[in-house]
Amino acid sequence: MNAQFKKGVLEMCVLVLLGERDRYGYELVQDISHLFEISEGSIYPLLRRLRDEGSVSTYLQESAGGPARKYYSLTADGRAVRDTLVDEWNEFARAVGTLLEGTHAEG
Amino acid sequence: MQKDEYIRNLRKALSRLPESEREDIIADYEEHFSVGVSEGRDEADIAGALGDPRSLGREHAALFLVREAEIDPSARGLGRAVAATVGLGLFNLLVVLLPFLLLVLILILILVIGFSLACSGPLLTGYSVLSLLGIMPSGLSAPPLAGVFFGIGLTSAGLFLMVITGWLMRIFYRLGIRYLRWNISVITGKEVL
Repeated sequence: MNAQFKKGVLEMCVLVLLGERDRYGYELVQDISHLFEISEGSIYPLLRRLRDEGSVSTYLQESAGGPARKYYSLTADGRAVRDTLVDEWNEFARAVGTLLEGTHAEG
Repeated sequence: MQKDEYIRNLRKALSRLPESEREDIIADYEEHFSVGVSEGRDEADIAGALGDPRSLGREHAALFLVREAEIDPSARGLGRAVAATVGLGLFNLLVVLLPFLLLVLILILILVIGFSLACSGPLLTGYSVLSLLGIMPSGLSAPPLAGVFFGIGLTSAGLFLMVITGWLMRIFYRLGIRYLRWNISVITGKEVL
């Protein structure tokens, strides 16, 4: 898939996944890379930026039989950002979908 | 690449950051490795999927320095943020370093002009007052009284320019930070992502 496509939606995907439930970094990477291929390490600069912007917060939690893991959770600000991004995405996807259908009908 | 080598390369790329921030970033990647290994993946596989540690480290460093420059504005902080962002790719010499240097040059130029005007005003006024009082010979083609007011005008214009420069600097600083952040998000991760 086109790299710029993915980069644009990666932030939205992270916010949506964290809106479902809190996740730790590795889990987040796996859940996204099941859907499309990403450079796994790039999720961490993104998470750090989202934390700096106040969209996500972090806490440490013990895991069964291992060291503590850093969990990420969506803040109220983050929910607002997510909703805006999802609305924009839906509007965009609908517009592009309409265009594609029109082209197919003619072709 | 095994975990130790990966972390070592990452740490090297983060060497300019304060230790607490550096170790905090590294801890995320160490956790990533340890979870991966506990799920049965081997280190080389995890390292490959994570992507180049040097470019990840440079991205982290640039993001951190831009944020520092935003929280605690200073010429030095901005310089470091710009340098770190320029280091992300050759292309940034053209779209970050060059505009930055031009902008600094223009602002310094306006400041110098403002300063010179502000300084020359009192000289002109003083000279004109002295020639009005007959202490100095009137060497100006204009009447001395006009010189007095023209001098005051020059000073005001100079001070005004200096104030404007300060104001422009603050605006450009804020916009510059936003631009750097946008640049980092666009320029990084394009190989694999």
